[in-house]
Amino acid sequence: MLVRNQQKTTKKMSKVIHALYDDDVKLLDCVKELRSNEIHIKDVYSPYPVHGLDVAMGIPRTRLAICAFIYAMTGLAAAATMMWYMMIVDWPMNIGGKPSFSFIQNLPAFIPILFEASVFCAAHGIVLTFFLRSWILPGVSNKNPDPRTTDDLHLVELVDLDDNELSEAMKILKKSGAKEINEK
Amino acid sequence: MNYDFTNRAKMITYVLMGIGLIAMITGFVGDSHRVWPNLLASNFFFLGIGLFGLIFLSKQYLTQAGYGVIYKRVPEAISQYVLVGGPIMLLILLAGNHHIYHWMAEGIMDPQSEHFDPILAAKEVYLNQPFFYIRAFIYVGGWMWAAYALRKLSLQQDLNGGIIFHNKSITVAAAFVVFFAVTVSTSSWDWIMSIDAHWFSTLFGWYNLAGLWVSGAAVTVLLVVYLKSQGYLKDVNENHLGDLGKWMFAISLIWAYLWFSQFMLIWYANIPEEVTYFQMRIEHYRYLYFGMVIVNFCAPFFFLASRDAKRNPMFIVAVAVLILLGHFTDAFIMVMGGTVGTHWSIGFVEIGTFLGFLGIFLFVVQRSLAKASLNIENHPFLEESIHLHH
Repeated sequence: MLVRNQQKTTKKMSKVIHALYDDDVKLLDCVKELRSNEIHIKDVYSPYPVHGLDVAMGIPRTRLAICAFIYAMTGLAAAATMMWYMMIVDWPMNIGGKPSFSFIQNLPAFIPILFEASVFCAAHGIVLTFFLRSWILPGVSNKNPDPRTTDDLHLVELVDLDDNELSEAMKILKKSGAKEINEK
Repeated sequence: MNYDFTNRAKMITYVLMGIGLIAMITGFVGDSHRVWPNLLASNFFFLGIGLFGLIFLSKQYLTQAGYGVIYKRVPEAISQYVLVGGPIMLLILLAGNHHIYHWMAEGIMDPQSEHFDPILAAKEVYLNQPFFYIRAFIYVGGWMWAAYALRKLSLQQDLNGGIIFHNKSITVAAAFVVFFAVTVSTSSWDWIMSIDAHWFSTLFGWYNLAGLWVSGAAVTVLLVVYLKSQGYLKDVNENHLGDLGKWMFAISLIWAYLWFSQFMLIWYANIPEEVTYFQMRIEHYRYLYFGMVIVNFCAPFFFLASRDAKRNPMFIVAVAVLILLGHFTDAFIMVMGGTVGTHWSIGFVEIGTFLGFLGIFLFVVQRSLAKASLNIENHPFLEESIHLHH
């Protein structure tokens, strides 16, 4: 194990600790251990989704699904209004002798469009929401503390620990089999 | 641990079968034209659920899926209904004959006869009695073989371990899936669509496949929750339930999609020979028909969309019951619309026949659950299934 940038103990500090792992099982154990000792984890960076990591970190479930439902309903309402105005109010057309002045009687013909509009709005809506929420936008610099997390290493980031927590955290990190621990 | 098929549970199934028998007899004494379609609709519904057991098992084997292994005795037990419902189906077809199928009536294909129907005569190559019964025997035979073989191999796998029986199951599953892909369509054309012999729909087979699939998933949910509440299947948790809930949700949407595809094309084109099917059902079965569509689509869509709902036993059971009622109503209307038509009603005969078949189904399923241990052993994916986590 390699410990770089090791400083002499200081009293109050806003140090950043980066522990790197090459094994997701070790990573998961470490995260669970840290959490059970009530040490706050700023974030974990990993090259691929680690199964069970979000539960171990105590991240609440995403509310993106609720957004998806709202966007879908918005799309549905927008498409319904559009077709109602175009096909019923503004310019009723005789298509195959169908009653052209009633929305409800023409509903079967509108359902495919209602469906597509719902899917379109839900899909684009959740992607954009995700980008905004995670602030992945053009021109935004990346927050990745170590480029190796895009390749083959997992990284646990700890910040703003007081002395007790720091020594506790270092003990756990060293015990957990971290490949490398960096302090900044 | 084997399921304990108690005397009380046996009694209930006997009472249900008794009600069915009485309903059948009262039906024959009264108006026999009402009985045949009822027998067909009920048995078609439960046979479909039995076939779902086979689909589920085959799908698990072929995709090397692990999630369903610990409750695999349940689809296995369901699939055993094919061994009973298949022969019953053949009996109904043989005895029901022209009471159910208008095209089997005397002289309908004979140009000299006053009953001659040129449209039906043009379909004689496919719709003739010998070929119809040969097909029926082939379907039922193939399905029964798969139900028997998959069950037997699965029990041997538990007994002997290793990979040999698992691989044999995969072979059987592959054969069944190919066979079933064709026969599920042709059997629903033969048995259900040919009731309205003038009418046809090219997606009728898939429509029925989706219907039987979702009904079967609902029955699996009910059985798994019931067994768990009785203290069996200890390793089953909300993750497994969530998977079954997803099946119910997803296939309900496929069913609704197919229902709508069938409906909309016919509604849009508005060709007289096509719209008759829906005209009958919308004019004379209006509330039942649209009620069924709404329940089968909306109940799963709105109640099962959320993740928590799919993992809640009470919730998922309520939706499963709704779906089962909805899909039985669907089978009922599909058969009744073309047979008794405007003279339909829901009375003792209808409900009694359904309960009778429910009794047979429950008896077969529980007997088969009691025969083998509910705890799976030696399955290659057992560990994966126990530790299933989402």
